[in-house]
Amino acid sequence: MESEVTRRWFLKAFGGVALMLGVPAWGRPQGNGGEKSYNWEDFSYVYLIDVGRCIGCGMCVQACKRENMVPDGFFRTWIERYRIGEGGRVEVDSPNGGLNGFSSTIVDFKVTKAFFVPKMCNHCKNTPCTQVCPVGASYTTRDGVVLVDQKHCIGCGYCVQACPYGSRYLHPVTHVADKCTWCYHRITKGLKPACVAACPVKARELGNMKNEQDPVRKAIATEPVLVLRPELLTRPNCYYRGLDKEVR
Amino acid sequence: MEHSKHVARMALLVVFVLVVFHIVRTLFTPPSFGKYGHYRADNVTEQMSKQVIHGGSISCEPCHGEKQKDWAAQAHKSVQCEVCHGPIAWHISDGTKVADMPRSRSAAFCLRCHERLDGRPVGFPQIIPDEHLRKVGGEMGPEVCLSCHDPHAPALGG
Repeated sequence: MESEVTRRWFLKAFGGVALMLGVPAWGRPQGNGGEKSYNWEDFSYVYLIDVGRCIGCGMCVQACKRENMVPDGFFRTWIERYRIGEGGRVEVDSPNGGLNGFSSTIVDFKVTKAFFVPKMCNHCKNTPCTQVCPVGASYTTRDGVVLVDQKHCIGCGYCVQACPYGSRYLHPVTHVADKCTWCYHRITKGLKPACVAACPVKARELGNMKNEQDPVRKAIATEPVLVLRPELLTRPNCYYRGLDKEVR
Repeated sequence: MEHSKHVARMALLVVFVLVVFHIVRTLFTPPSFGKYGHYRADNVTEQMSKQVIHGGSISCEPCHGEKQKDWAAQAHKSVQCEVCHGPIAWHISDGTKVADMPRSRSAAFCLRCHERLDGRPVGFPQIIPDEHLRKVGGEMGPEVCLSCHDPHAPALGG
């Protein structure tokens, strides 16, 4: 029998080489992440907004701006005012994102119901924004927060387009994607997000689904709550109490 | 064995391409990428170590504890100090005072919460400014609210 180089031999040999070179990429180490005192496996964050409580003062928007140095004209969280009248008339406004509150402007119909709706990133469980990132700069942490790695982001803006809630923007100075982090630097230290801390009427709350005693977890389990645009199947982690059908 | 030379050349080429691919891949993949998922694991700690700007009312207590006692017993106790005075990071750096805190005293600021608006919960204390001023006999001015109301203890006669 001759020691001929057959096709089978070739495939075996070079398949093996390719496999060996590829192994280091697959055999990635696993860890539990974060700083020593904080274990992200113990948390699964969830946010609850009470539309019936919100007074539209905009202190959350102000606190978010200051805490996260959000540039002028851009928002990680903002407030919308809905005024609804007979015959399905709807007027929605959000002057400067509600940063300076709202004033009593006139609408040309009789308002039958009205409410303020704070909005922000929904930190979706099945989020479109991280799926479209071509470089792996947008991701979901194990405790359920959607973040942007701004050192790695190339600023292509796909994620900004992909978000159906308009929660992302390209930062005018750094030119990379920016968004709500649920104040990851605060919550991992046991503090509340800046917006939650600033709210004078407790319209905004952050909870932990992995804590059985958590009041937000309890509220979501026992009370009627809704998410924004459930038909998109993004599975938001932001829940709303008292949401109206007009809110998108 | 007449084709072995060709095969060897092909093999060399394949090895070369694989080696180049892995060198390029290593160069362009940042360290810690892929440790927890398809992202740079170091970014998680970078996000966590950002500076905290708002310390909460508890951070004001060491110096302003006396003032806080009045505030904490009154109707504005749900309004954190930093809502009207600005974040503590503007005021204190490394344990020393770096600047005076702003004081939001304008009527416009009070009205952000207390002007009667469509959509504001009915039970929340709110006024129609003109009507209110007519009733109490005042005139609109930049800090008119403070001529009767103390922001730390806003209820009159309480």
